[in-house]
Amino acid sequence: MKKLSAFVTMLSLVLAACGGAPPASSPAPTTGGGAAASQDQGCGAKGSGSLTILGTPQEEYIQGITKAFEAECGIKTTYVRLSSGEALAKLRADKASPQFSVWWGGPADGYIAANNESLLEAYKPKNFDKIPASYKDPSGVWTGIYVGALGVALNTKVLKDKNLAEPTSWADLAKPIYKGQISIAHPASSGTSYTFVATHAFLNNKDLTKTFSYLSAFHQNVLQYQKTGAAPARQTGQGEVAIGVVFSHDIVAAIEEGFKDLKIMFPSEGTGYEIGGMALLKGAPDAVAGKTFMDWAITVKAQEMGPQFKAYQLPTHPDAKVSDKSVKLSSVKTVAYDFQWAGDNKKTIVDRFSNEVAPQPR
Amino acid sequence: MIGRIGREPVAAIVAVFAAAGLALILIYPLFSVLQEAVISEQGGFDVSPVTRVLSNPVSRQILVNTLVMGMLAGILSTVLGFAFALATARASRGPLRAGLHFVALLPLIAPPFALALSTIFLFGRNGLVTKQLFGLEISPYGLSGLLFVQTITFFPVAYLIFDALVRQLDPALEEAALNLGASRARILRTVTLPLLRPAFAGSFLIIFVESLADLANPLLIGGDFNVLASSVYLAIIGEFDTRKAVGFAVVLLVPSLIAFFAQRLWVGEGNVVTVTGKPSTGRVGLLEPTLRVPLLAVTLFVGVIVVSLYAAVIAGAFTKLLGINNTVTLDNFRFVLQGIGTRAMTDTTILSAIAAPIAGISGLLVAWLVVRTRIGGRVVFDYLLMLGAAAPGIVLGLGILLAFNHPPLRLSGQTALFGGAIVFIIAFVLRTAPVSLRGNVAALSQIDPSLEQASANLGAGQVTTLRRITVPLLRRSLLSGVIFSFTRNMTTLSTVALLVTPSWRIMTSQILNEIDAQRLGSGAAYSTILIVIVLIAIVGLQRAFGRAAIEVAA
Repeated sequence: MKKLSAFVTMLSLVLAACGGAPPASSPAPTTGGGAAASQDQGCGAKGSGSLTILGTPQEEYIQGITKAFEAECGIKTTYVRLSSGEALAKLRADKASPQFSVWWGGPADGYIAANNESLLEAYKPKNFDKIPASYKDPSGVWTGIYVGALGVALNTKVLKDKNLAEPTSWADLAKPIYKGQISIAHPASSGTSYTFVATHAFLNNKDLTKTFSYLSAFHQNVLQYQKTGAAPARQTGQGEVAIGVVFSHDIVAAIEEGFKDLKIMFPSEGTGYEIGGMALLKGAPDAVAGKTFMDWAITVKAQEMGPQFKAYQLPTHPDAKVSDKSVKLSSVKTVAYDFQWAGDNKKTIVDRFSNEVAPQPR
Repeated sequence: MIGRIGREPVAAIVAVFAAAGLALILIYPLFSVLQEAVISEQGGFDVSPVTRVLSNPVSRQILVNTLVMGMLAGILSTVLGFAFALATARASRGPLRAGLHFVALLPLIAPPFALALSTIFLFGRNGLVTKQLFGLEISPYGLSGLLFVQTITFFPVAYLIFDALVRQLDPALEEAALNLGASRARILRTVTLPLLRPAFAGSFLIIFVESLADLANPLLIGGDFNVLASSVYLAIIGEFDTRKAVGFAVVLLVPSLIAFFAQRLWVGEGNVVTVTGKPSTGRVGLLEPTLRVPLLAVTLFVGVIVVSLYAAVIAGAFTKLLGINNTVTLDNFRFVLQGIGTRAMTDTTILSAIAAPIAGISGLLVAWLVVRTRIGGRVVFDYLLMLGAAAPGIVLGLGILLAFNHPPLRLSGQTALFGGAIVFIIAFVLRTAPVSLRGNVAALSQIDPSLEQASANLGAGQVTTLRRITVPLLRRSLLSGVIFSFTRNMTTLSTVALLVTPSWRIMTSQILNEIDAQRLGSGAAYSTILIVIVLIAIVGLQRAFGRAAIEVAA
């Protein structure tokens, strides 16, 4: 018993020391975004002075952004993080009494699907016209806040240990030699994974029979479907599998975190990409504060904050500086990604995946 | 009836409050689950959510998986718990005995995920032990990994059951057999084991129920091996399909309740036939070396595994990326404490601390009602309250969500009263009051009612007797009920997983988020903090109120 209490004392001391340490991992937002800061400060009306955001990107990013917004605009902001598919389910369930004001981040496909169910309220944030037309809905149903390409994380050490060739294409990932070596999230919960599924629909000219025959072969190599899109990057880095299908910016973040054996691969057939959306929710509580948040979120200053929180997506505001760690879309071969089609067919495709592909024995 | 109420006014009041409380926080939520399962959206009678689970091959496989997992976990944990009880009672003395006793209790304070997390660190595909030390390729994802983690998690429950019994067995019986020339091994087989048969059945059934209710381990290490509890969770979190969720929930509820109440009916309380209350004079001898050596080898090996799993959680918390980059760092704690972690720590501690005394006192009052009063239908209170322990946490959580997320009683969700805090307290009380009930029933049964009768004969009313005699006598069982409730509240996931709101952050649910994103280091840091809080609570309350808390808290 004595030993136990000594151990407890020690741990609590360590914890106390740790709590008091200066913040190293998440530096304060940089002040003064140069010339841009003067023209789009972003903080408008406060509304009731509090705000709840539904966020879909990495927790660290949502947390950083909401804190920065709170510090700058003085609106108390809390958040819940849910993956894209989960967020949509939650919004649907809360339709009668909405809990959130704004949905922030996650592929635009999800926003289009949400709009088809009348869950969104069109709102054009201040400086909406600064955002290029291809990165937003023309009537302001959703506005793009970032862009990022789908990639493949390879653990070079695991591949070498197992004498496996480095895959270079989507076709390679369906080959039996990679059995049990692929990690990806489930498209029902994860927007990342749905982007992967939709990408294959576009590679097959929207022929779902061909698409699903590829997905069935690919399924044979998957170890386990994760819930969150970015998780496969770390699971691959940890060496639990050799290959992870995930957005390239999440691979960059995992490498930054110290998963040194990771490498990014873009399949030779071409890959899909996401436009991270943002939308006001229908019947939102604190809609005024929500609009203020949206105005602020597309400012140059807010868009340049990503890398501080290990978010290496590309900003949509053309004036925002791009981190040199981010993967430029122009450097990657992409498919002709039809967001409207992907959003309109999301439920059908996901249901088919859940019923036909995921239960298949392997 | 009127006359009886006149004689027992306090009992009547307690009974009315207990009935109202149980109806509101237990029956209403469970009824909501059943209602959702049999009434269609149009209002007609429709049991398709349940029949769909049974007819669809995919979900039928999930049911089979669940039952297979529960039975195997029940058998493995029971055997291991018995081995530990035998090893501490009949194969070891002194520090070795104390050490084995300690490791057999250690897993009880592990938060969900902690052991599965360290299993991945140590025995994963890139595990420190399996891959990096022995070069083995073992995948823990699936039934085998799940059983490994569940056995380590649940064998202490079996150990506690057997530990008390093995030591209470009257040595005279064994001595008689010994004098008749039987070997210790033969005695074990023909005398000891038959005496313990009810304990084996009880332990198996309790662990079967616990295994079925487990949510965290199947989510983290189950791989493609889907079970009912995680299916309920995913149906809500992933799709918010309540009818799908209740289908799984009802199918999960049935075997859980059958096993739980079978255990109560067949095994019951105080089943050891040789407890006479008289001090026994005989001394129990150690087993022969042929039995003792393998027994010690097995238990010590498991002990080493338990300790290394704990060490791996702590190592995972204090390194950059355990197994990849073993640089010592406080980054994980910084990430947790500067993020939501601090909020989660205070929120969870506040809610747990509010619920713990409520659970302890309600357990005590119902125990008193059942054992000491003559209120009609008092046994019903016992069985009803036990439902809170028998029903899987995720089913209770689902029921609370369905019952309290709409008028007339909107208690769940951020916009509800106190930001939805009340539903957490309801969940915590439901889950832990049954344990306080059992502890207090056991304690009350051992206290001679003549003390209370004497008080009544001297003219004291029911209130005075309860306050001055009964409650002071039950101080210890009340305290252990409160400690148990607090530690269980801090570490439960399944009951609250569906109830979280931005206003109240729950630590176990935050761990789930970290694990979902595969941020294993932060998950380990959270787990370490949780273990420390639980230890501080146990040790602190023990200091404040006297010894014996750690055993009762278990």
